[in-house]
Amino acid sequence: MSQENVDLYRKQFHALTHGDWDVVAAGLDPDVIVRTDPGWPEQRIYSRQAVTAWLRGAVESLGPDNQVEKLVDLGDRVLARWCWNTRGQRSGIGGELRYSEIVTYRDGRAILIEHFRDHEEALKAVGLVE
Amino acid sequence: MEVAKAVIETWNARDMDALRELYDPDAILRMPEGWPEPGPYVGREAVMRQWEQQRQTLDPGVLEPISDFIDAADRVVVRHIWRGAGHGPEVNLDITNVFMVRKRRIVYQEFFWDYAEALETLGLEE
Repeated sequence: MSQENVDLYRKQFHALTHGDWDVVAAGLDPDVIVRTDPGWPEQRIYSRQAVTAWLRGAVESLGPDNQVEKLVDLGDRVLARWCWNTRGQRSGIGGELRYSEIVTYRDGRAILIEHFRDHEEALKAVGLVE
Repeated sequence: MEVAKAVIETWNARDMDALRELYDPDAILRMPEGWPEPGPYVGREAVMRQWEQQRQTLDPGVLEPISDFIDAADRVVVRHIWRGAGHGPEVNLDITNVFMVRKRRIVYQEFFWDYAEALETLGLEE
């Protein structure tokens, strides 16, 4: 099961960075919830439709150059660290955004996505560091 | 683990204010498959409304743990019997509770009908 979730994560991430929004949506539970980092403007996004729209908006604003740097298999969860080389699609201003996320899966779909600006916080959350 | 135990204690003590304090403002609650009002309930106020409703339905609604509290990193699993009488026939639900705790507050709570399934889902063994 856990390798399936890692494979699913990779598939979803590829779809996200290639604008394949039907595939992105198909990997989300209808009642999926995103809990963002406390520093992010939106604090929680609920439902497949809203989360897909939110992700699409982010990619369309910041560009698709996003790479997974670390991926940890946690059974029913996956911990990922990614680096987003952002480029404002209107302004052209570039930047680098590193975030970690813990994705919880049930029946092959993401039901909970948690974002952490600080990777240590994500590691602590799942008990990988004290 | 203390937070999970406190949920059981506060529920059984009918201390809903104390119970409320155990939830993160952005807490999420998922009831088990087939539950009449499946939710999920998003946000502490929605979670507490659901619990208030359950308390009215199942009153007195006592939780009796029938397993150990299993600590799995940021999650705690406990199987319990949820006893209630309410306005209808007596209810004894054998149900497993999974709490996810961050900074001493519940951020995510999920129920399973089957204890073994809950453990398997979390990669644990009975």
